Amino acid sequence: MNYLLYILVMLEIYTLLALSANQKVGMSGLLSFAQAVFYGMGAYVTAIFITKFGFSYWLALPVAILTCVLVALLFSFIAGKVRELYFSLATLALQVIFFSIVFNWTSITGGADGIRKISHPAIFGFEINTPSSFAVFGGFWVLVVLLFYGWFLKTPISRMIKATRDDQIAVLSLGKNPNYYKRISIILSAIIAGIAGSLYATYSAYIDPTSFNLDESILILSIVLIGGAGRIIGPITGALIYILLPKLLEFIQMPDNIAANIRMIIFGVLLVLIVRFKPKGIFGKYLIQ
Amino acid sequence: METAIQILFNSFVSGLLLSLVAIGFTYIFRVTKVFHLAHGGIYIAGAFSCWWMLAKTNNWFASIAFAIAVVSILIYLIEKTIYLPLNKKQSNQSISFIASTGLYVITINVLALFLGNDKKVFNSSISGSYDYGSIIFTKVQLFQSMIAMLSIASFSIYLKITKSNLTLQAVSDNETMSKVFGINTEKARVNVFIVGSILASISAILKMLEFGMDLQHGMSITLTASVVIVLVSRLDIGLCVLFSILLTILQSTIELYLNPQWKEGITFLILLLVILFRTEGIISYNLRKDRL
Amino acid sequence: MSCILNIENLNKSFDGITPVKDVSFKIKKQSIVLITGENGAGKTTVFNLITGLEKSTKGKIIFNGNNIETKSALQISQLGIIRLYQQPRLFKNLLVWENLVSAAQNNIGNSFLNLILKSKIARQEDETLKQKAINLLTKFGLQDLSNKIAGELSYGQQKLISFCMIAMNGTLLALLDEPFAGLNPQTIDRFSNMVLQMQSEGITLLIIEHNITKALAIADSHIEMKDGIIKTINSIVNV
Repeated sequence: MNYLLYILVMLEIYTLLALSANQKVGMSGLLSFAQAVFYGMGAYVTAIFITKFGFSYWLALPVAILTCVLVALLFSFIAGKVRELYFSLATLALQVIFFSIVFNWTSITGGADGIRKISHPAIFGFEINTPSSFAVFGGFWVLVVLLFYGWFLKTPISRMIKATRDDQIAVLSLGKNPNYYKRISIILSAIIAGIAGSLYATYSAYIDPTSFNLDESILILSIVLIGGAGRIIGPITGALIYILLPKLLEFIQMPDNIAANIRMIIFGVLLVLIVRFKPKGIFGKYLIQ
Repeated sequence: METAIQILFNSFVSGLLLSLVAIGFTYIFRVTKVFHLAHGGIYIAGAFSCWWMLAKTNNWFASIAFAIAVVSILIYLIEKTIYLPLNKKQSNQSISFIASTGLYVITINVLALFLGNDKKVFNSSISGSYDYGSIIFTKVQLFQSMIAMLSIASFSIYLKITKSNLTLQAVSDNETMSKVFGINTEKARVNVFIVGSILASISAILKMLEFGMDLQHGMSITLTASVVIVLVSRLDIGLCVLFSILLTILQSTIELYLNPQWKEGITFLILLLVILFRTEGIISYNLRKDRL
Repeated sequence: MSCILNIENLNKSFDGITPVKDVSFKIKKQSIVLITGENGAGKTTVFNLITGLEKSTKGKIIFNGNNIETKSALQISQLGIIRLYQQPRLFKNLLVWENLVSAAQNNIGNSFLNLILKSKIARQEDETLKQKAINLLTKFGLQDLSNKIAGELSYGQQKLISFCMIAMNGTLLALLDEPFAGLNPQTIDRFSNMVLQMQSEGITLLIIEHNITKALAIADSHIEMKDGIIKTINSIVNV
């Protein structure tokens, strides 16, 4: 039972991550290789403020979100300057730089040792420390984000974000600033990833840099692309496939020592096949430019 | 002074090894427009297949031939089944970049599955060194630089003899027009992929001679080579070599004076700055596109 | 009638070539002006200079009393100059009505802050704009397309829709780049009617077109360019 709840929490975290990446990739057409930066930023800032300054989760979370927003502003500056492949390369560079900083700034981040003993969140004096309470807590955040999208996707600004994705020159010649819509989209994406990061940090109570490296970013991006970018159902499907695939491997009694590689191979093959034969992803509406 | 000479020499050797990867990567990128991240997978595949064959036969000649055959077949299949069809569908660079990322993930994990995740070391290698005071030139380093220079020279002679550079330049500038003028663009693409992959596997085998090789190294050297791609905007072997060596000197200096782990961070800070200052903003981009 | 666009001694040169030399002309409010000339005559450069995509080396561009040659492309479009490219630029993953609403100049809900602070007004205004878009489509007989995805329309339909976006935008001056290119005769007539209707609603139009006969039928004046200079400016009296 606890194991199932663990899977459920991971599914919730990856759903949040996939939704955040979808905001950038699917809604704004910005192919970012740095989603783990915001994920890591959320996790690290939460962890540092909880362990070093004794903040509670509910105080650390806004700080984490604020930091994510600031980094998002740097990303949107880059998105305003370069496009397409060069934007992807720039985000890739930022991902490597982020990892380098987290890995080397040992006095703050603990370096390769990471940060331990991150306390659990509490609501009205009720501490969230059991697998089931975390599953509910994670579900709460997924619900918050889904409700947000239920409202946001119908708003004019969401339409303008998609319009900017389709043709930013046209947006510009209609007298609107395409960079504004990219900025909003990147900030939203950063906030959702930051929430996922702080959830992960308090759930696992221990974080280290390897959870937030380039591989992780590529993974998050793949989840969105396989599920299909541009719609809410796409990233959720992608996260389901990613989390349930290893369970399937267990079910057919794949030995543990090769299961991790097999999982990545299947995921890689899926990604290549999707790009080659169904470039919009399983449920996607939008083709990456 | 002696430290400086040692750093310069070490960087020169590592820079040459990097340039073997970078030349292939740059040619592939400029000619086919594919940002071939799977180059890192090919690199490891070359080193590991050589290691595997050597362990079986203990024959260097057979092992190197086997490695070259493996990477050639691998890249041929990748081009024919993935990149070329994507190119025919007029997919954009982002699509082939994603495909390439997927191919990298597959290659690395297949290798890990069959050969294990651990670091591989050749069981026979070149030992010994020439010492001048505190400066050390190891025999492996001298061998590495000789073979690397030889490979670079062979590649430029190959381009001269086959007059490929002009063809490649034409394909790179305008693929459709090249087809109209009777250039076999598909053949040109395959050749660039194969030759680039062979150069990468030579570099990988040379690198492995010294310190052995782990699976992560392919990605790290390919990412460093991507800095060279952005810096060198045309097909020029000399510039690739020059920037590779300069980059390695910078990395070695960082390694010496700062924590070695900062190396990649600072390399990529350079990549970021180059991207931001070399590419143009959205307006001029628009104009270029509209004029085409 | 007052003059909406006043161009004085406009020059553009780079790399030793001068695509635009001492070009001066005035455009009256609510008129339709046709610019013709061979390829390389400097027509497109004039458009680029007006919309701020390129900057002039010398000369003045006064639009509606504002000196615009120092302004950015975004600022210029916000003043009410819109350009329609030869290839229609629609938001191809959005529905047709969504395209039109996106074109509206000052939708309150286009700002995130307003969306939160004035959510009710924003929703109402968006609804109004949607209605306006559908009315506009109905006026031009395009109402059936309203709920279609823009990227799936035919070339001619896309051009008509992108033209409707001008009306939605509250444009004062529209620059049309070969609007008739690639259209069949019926669609050209339809397009011409739309142009005249826009004119009657107060929009000024500047048109580059190679199909001179069709364009002259609707134009009020005709500027002919050659090698970067203006050869003739004629007023046309349509019978």
